[in-house]
Amino acid sequence: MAEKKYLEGLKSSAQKAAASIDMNVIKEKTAGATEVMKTKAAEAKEAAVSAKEDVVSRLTELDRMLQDSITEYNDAYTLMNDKGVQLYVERSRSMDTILFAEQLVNSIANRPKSFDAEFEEIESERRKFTDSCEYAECELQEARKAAAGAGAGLAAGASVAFMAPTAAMWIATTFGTASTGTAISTLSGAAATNAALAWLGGGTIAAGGGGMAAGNALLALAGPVGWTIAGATLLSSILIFAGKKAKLNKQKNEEIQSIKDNTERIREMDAEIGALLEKTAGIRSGLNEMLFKAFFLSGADYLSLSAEQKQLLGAVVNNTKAMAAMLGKTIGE
Amino acid sequence: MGITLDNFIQDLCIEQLMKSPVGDKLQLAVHTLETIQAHFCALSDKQNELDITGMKAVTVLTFAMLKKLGEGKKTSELTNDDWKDIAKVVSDYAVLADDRLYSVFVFRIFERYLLGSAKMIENIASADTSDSIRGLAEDLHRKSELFESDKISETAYIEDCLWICLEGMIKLTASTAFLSGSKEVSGLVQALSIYGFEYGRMILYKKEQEMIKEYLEGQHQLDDELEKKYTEFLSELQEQAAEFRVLIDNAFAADFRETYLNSAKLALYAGVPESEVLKTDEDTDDFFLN
Repeated sequence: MAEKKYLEGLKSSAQKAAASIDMNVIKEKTAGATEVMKTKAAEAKEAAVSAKEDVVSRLTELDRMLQDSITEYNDAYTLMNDKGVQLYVERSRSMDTILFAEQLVNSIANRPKSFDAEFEEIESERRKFTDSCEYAECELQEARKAAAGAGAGLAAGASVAFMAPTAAMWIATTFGTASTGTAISTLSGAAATNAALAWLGGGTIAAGGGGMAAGNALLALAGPVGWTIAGATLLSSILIFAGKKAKLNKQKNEEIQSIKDNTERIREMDAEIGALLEKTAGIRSGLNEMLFKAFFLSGADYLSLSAEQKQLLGAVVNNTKAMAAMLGKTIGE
Repeated sequence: MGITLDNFIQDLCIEQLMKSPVGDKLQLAVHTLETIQAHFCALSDKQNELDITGMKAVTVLTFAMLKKLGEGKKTSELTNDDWKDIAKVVSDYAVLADDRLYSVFVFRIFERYLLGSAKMIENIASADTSDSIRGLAEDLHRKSELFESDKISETAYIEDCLWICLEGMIKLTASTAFLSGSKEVSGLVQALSIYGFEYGRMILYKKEQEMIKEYLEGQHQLDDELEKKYTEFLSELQEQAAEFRVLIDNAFAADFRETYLNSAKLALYAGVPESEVLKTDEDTDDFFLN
């Protein structure tokens, strides 16, 4: 009893409150809110267009950066490689100089001497990077999958309209309005069936909607069922595609970083090889001159040589050993 | 109004529809949608061309069959000739058509879909709404023309068309807002739906914009760091080279005594072990006599 009284009291308060509501004010406020939403939608659209244009421009810059960095890497590698070849040639010539010095020293020394000298070619593998064409192709494949998915969503919606006639009929008969403006639920028999299916299917032939009977299966989707399914599939397609693009752009960014790091390393190697080349050439040139001066000492009796001549030979030995040590140097030491 | 993308998606989601008085009869619709979405999510991670061809084949098969059923036939009434027609359509569009043509095929269908839907809602929605939907169909048509005449790339074509189609579906779904009540309320519901769409799209683009901006700034910063590193490296190398040049000049000087002493320094600098370097006259004697 107490409960019933309580509920009646609530009902009475609600009725009084409802009676005090000015529906015109509500309608006005709703209309005002609608206009605000429309304005905000237009602003959001403008912001989206502007953001999109900026994205396109920045992506072009990122692509250009990728291509430029690959070109720079290849150029730096070529320069480094060429310098490496020059060093190899220089070192090969240096071996000849060392051999000549060895012959001179051994013609004088009591026991045979060897200036252990060997060298390996400085090698570095040219790396291959993914260029912007390959990234563009990946992006295109993802876009095509998104388009295929959207098409599949449309087909799925069409299938539902056909496969679930009872559900479709229920929706249509409960909420649909026939082309004539009469609520389908007030119709009966074949008229209700045709109107319901037509409501889902894009209007009756008489209303010019085409409908399913016109053979355009596509119009069978024109209704809340099809729109919702197609819409949800489109949204999935867009979000998945956006995710894939973000992943590709992240990979692209990391690729550019990797290329730049590699280019920097190649440039350093190039500088190191250049320095080695200069040192090697410097010693070889000096040693060749020195050997020319010391040539007349070939086959001499060491004990009969003057102090200066012995110092000359000592310098030949030291400089040849320095030469041999240079040949063994690798990049990064 | 703080409408989030999540809320917006939820509004569209058929799950939400199921909670409404309309929805509890749409079990089959949900199942179909989930199957398609799961298939698409799995497909987007696959590289296998056969899977994409399979999806295309199923899509085209569905449309081809629906066309036959739309002509008034039931599935059990389809003849061998009917099945041959269906198979030909599938092979023409799904397998023989290249991927570029298939995208155009999909969006041409959406174009007709939007036009048909616009016609359908003429009785229940405002003239502005159906005109807006027709406008979107025209946008799709223009995009297809631009693409077919190579004025836009295929990726841009697909992305733009996906957004146009989604906008269309949202506006069409929102046009059924009359079910919820008065004209004013339905107007507000439609405006909210459209705002949700525009807001969601803006957020997605802004997110992409921020990400790319961050990447470019990072790259410029990296350039500065690497240049600084290289300059420092080069400077150190040049210092060492200058030292070496002095040693070489001295190691090959005219005075034999100077040459002898400096050659020892050069050998040590070049990395020859100290025990092997001739530093005194005794060392030289020992080398040649022993």
